Amino acid sequence: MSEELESNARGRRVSPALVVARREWVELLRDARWVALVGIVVALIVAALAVGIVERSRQTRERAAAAEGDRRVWTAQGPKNPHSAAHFGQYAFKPIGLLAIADPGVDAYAGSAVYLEAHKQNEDRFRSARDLGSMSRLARLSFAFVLQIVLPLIAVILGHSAYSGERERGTLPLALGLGADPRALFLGKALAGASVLLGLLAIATAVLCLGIAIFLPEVELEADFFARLAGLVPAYAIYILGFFGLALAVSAAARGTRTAFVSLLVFWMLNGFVAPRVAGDIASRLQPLPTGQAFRDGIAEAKRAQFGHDEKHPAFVAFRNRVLAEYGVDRVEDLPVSFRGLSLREDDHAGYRIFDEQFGRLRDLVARQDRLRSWAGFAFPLLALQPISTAMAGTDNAHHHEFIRSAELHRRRIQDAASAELMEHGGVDGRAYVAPASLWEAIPSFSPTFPDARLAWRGRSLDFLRLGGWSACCWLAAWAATIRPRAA
Amino acid sequence: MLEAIGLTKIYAGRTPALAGLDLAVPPGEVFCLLGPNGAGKTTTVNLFLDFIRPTSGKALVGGVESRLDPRAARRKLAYIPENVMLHGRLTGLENLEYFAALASGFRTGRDELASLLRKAGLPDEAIHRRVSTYSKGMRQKVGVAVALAKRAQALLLDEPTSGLDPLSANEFAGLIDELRREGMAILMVTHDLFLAHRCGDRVGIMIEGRMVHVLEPARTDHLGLERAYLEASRKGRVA
Amino acid sequence: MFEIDAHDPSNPSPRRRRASVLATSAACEWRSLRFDLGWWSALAASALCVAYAVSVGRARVEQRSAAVAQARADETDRLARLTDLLRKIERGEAPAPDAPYRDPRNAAYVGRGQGAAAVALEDLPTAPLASGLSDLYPQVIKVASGPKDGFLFTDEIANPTRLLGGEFDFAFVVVFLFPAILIALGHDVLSAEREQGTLAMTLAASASLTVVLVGKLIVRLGGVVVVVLGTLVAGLAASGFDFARGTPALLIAAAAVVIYAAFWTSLILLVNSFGLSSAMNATSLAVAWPALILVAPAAISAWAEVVHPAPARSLMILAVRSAAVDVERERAAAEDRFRDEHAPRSDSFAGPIADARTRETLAVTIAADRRADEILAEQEEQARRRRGLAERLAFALPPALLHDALEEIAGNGRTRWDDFLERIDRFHGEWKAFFFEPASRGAALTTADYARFPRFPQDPASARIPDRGLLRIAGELFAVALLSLLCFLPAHLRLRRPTPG
Repeated sequence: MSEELESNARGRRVSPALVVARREWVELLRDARWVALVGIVVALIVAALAVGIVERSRQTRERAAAAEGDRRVWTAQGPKNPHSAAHFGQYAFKPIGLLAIADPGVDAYAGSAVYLEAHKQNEDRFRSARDLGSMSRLARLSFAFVLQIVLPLIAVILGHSAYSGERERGTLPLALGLGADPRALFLGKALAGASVLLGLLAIATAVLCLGIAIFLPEVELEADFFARLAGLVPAYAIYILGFFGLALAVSAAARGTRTAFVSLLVFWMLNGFVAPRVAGDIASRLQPLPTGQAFRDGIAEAKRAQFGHDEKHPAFVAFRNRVLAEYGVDRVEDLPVSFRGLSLREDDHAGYRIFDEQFGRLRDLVARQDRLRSWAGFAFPLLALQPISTAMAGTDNAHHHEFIRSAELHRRRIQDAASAELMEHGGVDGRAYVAPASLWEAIPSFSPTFPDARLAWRGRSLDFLRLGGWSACCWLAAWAATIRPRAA
Repeated sequence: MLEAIGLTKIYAGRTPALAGLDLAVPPGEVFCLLGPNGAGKTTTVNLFLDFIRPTSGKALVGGVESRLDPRAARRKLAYIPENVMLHGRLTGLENLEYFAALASGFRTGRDELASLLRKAGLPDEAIHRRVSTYSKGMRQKVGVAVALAKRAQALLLDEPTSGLDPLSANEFAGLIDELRREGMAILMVTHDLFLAHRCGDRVGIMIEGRMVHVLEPARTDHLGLERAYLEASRKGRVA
Repeated sequence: MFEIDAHDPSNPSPRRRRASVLATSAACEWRSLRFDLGWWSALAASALCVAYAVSVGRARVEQRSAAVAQARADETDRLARLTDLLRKIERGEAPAPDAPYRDPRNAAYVGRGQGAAAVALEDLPTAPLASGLSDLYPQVIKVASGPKDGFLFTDEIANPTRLLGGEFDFAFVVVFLFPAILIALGHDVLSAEREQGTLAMTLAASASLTVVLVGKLIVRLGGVVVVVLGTLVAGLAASGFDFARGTPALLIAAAAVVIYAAFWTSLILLVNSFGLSSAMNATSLAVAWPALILVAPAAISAWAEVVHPAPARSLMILAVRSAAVDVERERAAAEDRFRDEHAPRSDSFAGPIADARTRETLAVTIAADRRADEILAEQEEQARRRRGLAERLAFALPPALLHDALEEIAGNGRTRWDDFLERIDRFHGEWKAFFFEPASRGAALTTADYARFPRFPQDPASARIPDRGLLRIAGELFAVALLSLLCFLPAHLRLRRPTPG
């Protein structure tokens, strides 16, 4: 019988994969437990975003108020010696990216402010985690938590019995015995599960965008936001789908539903809780960080070569002689510029090199630890996903270092401006010089510009590769296990 | 329609589950396989379905070797296991719709499917009820309706009446008669001598993977069949 | 109680002896578990996790004590250099430094920076059990006479990613992994019997089902408890645990683990008592695990965060600076600070020992510091309120209670840190008084003064869990025990009328 004739005789041709998918959907919809579970997940997403928005608004408001206040304090200094003002310094408060709502990342565990003062680069301080209480270290309710931990669990519950359950109920041998195409069964199940999971992700994304649009009207959703979202959402999609693929593979290959479920839960726990801790431990054993004491000692040691305010320091004497020779004069009093300003600038610049080196080394160590940590992302995808998620949210170490770098740049701007003022107007000694109050207005405050999406995307290809590789392996395994599924 | 040629299945390290079975079931014939537990009856069914692979020999469905093209073989087959399990949250009609579409790749009209369910003996009130409320016999009837809907040329039944009450078993036997009249080749594995005698055109007795006896119920009475079966079983035990 | 006659075939004398249902059920369970690879793997996995956790905790403690030793050495070194210089100045062997901040005789400056006391919270023997707050506070706090915010908020150098991920410590293994293992082993304690068809026979034996199941669970899950505690003790012993000092705390930790196990066991019984399938039990418990361990604590902390926001440290900084500016306006303090730091060799400046101007500066600075400490105290109060709310809400959450209890037992919990911070507060006052007094008189520090520098009291009471902590642990363990009972009772009532099929 030709197909056309057959089709006339038997009705419309249908895609078996769609038939399977449709049946899976209907079953899910008729299962009150599933409806409840999905409802709970959506509620969690909404709650997590609400908390994220409230927290970010509060922190942004506080930091803006503090920055404004700091500006007031700075400009109210009145007539003063410029170097004295440099000692008084300014504070730099860390800016918060818009997507910190979605993934608070390391923000609570990194300092939120840096004191910018003369002569030294201070470490960032005020980790908000200290105020959070130990319960928040069990878990913090965030969009990222729901997507990284809860959704994979849903994927596992959704997929673990896809084959093993049907086999135990007897519907799989029945379908196969009737000549159902295993590929169609696989595609149908994949389609049904993936649509549920991606649907949840789509709801989450929509809630995120709507939440921002409604509750943060002052924020404009610019290209940068979408450039970050374009990394965030696909990464989560790959991650969650990978889990579902794995669940299908294990379900098809395992002896029974319970074996499948237990194996998948073990992997879920290893991925979500064990791997991040063990990877962090191994990374910090392989690339240990100095203690605070050792770090500060290192800087102090390096700074000993610098003269600071010590006018008997050999380096100071050498510098004075060099300047005198340069200008062809015998006494500093004969210099056309303020020697004090010159020496301050010289000392500052020597300090810059030391700080760049010491802080640079620390930053490199941290980055190396992070890279080591994400290596295991091939096996435990959370370790590849987290760097992507925090980078896109602007809450990773790279963004934090960028804040520290720009704060330090600003500190140097203040130093240089103060020294330049002294050089120009300070006279011989410079100590007695009092700059007009208008000078403080002329020196800007730290204006935090949040790094653009390029920083987020830089170096992420390896993480995407690990995540994508893992996910692809899961789906290949699922295909291999289901193409000739165990019927009995 | 159903043909086994030297069909053998040996599980690693065990005695053969099936040893060189030769069998042919033409269209319109019901062949019953009798035998004690572990005789290789279900193995035979699973080999036709390609749920397991033969160690040697062939299982052919309409001339198609199951091992080489399982889907083509299964397309001609319908299979009703001992306990027909369906998707509990779907109604009987929806289950039929689902399995029929999976089996044939075509969507059949709901009215037509409902009439098939009626033909299989499912009461009208049950057609739109969720299958989780069905009895075993009712699920069996949906299984028959699936076979009807996919217009299977051959039917494999694995102990279809075990656990059914006499009335339901009798109804089921009636259904088998009807399917035979429609020209299906039917291979039925059973422990039920009465059913085998009633429905079977031929009855094969299997012992330890071998077909030791083939009888035609028409030529013997129920007691004769029972005697043959018990004799064969005893011989097998002694051997 | 529930007793049946059992004949033990292994007993050579044919005497019949009475065996309790509990013992019979436990013995039967042991016979079937002896050959269960899954059970043995779960035990091995538990042992591995605990052993690794102990090693991680040990490494942390060693690292910390090395850091403390480093800071102490630095302190000794600093003080030695200062006294050395001071001696030379006193003997006239060395000229006085040209800046007061380098002068070992200047009380204001020595107290504010160079003389700062390195203070650390001593680790208890049980410290490897939980990192608790120890990685959020600096390992060593350098107490100086400036405002407290100056030294309290100096953070230890750490990779934030590591802090975010948390530590693989014993507390983590017990709170997170241990219940998962219990669930994996126990979720089908009743449903499997029903599915295998043995339940009807068990019921027909007319023994109490609860007792039978408890007997099974004692072997099945008790094995995990024994392995966890055994590995803990062995691991600690291997790393030189001070049993003389640490045994009481270790016993409390063991009690905590047992009570926590009792909670999860009761929950498993409760789920089983509903008579669902093994698969359903597994799914329900697999949902209960993250709900209790992750979602509920996260929701509670989020709620506390919204109701009592964290104190705005940024605004504290601002307030402290504003206070400084206010007093500065009166006395142009910054100008002085500048002068102090860049002291000329001019005669107008009195040198290291404070003249009237520096004394005035000092008074102003003290006023500003006092204001700063007040603001800090307000903020700490706010943080305390917020923690209080979270803790009250967590009373029904065994994982959160146990996590906190284990942190307390490890000596890295809230009460011991609060206690330490209070002691620092008192010490800070003492320190300030010691240095401000001579500074305000304009007196110079002598070598004799150096020998009298206040020392942070090494209170023997500080080398153990504070009483408040013990009370807190007792309360938390009591609450977990109560919650176990609340799960067990309905389970027992339901199990009295089970359905065999």
